[in-house]
Amino acid sequence: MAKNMTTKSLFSFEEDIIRESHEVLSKKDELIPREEYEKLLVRYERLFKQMQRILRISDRFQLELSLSNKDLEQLSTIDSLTKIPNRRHFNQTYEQEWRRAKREGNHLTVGMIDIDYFKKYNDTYGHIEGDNCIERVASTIQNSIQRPADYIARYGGEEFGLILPNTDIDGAVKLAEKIRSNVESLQMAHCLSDKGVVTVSIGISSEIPIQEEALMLELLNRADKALYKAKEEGRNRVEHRCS
Amino acid sequence: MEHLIIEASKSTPAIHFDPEQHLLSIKGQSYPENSSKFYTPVFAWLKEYLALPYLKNIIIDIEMSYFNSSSSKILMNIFEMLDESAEDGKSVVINWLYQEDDDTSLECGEEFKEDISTNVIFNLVEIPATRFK
Repeated sequence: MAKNMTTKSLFSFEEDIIRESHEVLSKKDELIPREEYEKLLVRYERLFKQMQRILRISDRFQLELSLSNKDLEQLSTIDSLTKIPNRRHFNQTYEQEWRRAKREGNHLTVGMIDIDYFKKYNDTYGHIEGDNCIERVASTIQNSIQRPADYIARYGGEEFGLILPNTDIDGAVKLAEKIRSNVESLQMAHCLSDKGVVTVSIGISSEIPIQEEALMLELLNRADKALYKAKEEGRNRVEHRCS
Repeated sequence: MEHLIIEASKSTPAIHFDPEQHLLSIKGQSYPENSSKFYTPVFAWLKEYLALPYLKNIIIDIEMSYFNSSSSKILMNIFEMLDESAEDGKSVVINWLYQEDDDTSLECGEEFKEDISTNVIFNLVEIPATRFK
């Protein structure tokens, strides 16, 4: 049906007025008929008012869209289960803190925290309990860090990433030990874990950033290797690794 | 006269115009790539419908949660057509349906209502919010 029809212009009313105005003005030798022109003006004024309304309506939608964009942006950086930042946000924060530490010549410490025997926990207690476990560990970690700049994110499944700006390795080991002990103190039953309760292993590494990106990844890798060492050494412990 | 039925798409509203039951409804979101083109059959249908000699009462239901600028211009043009029919002595009712939590849609309805002449009855009708949008 639509194919055979000529498209109706969005501005047919405006175009009518313009065309008729030209017609009125083209009557060269005659006086411009005032009444006719006044009628055109009334019609134009009405359309002008409409256009103002249309702009208000559009602005309103644009505002709403930009607000929901902001909401979405925020949602996209938060882990839906634990309500702490997700890996995407971790990466952003890590880059920022790296640059800041480099600028200020301060220590930057990162940590990798992993729930011990989590797969076995899931297999034994089910996925819902597994989710509960992740949630409780996440909030325990969050409650263990106190300085405003200290930062925790859910890095992956049962793994959390810690960023401690302006913290050397000694300070970081103390905080990591506190996290480890707070999780153990939850006394969440885990029959297949060495201690019979949920525990975490933590690997940390510290650096005063001097170089660029290569070292940035290297620092994370070292924390990861320290985490592996903590696992190998029997879990429920903190290990650190320096350059 | 034929029915005009256009099913909704992601960017265009559902249009159900029934000339026998006199049920006219536009429902959905409207941000077509080419608004003029999409609404051309709508204008053509309305023009034919409004010219029916026996037509006395015109009622149209519009429920639009989101529409782009050219679609609001389209709506203004539709209302202009309806206004002309009202001036000709027909009874014209426009029901602007908005979900109870949708302030934006209500405010848009208010803009349209203020714009249209008092010959037309323009109702702002609150309907329950749907859970899934």
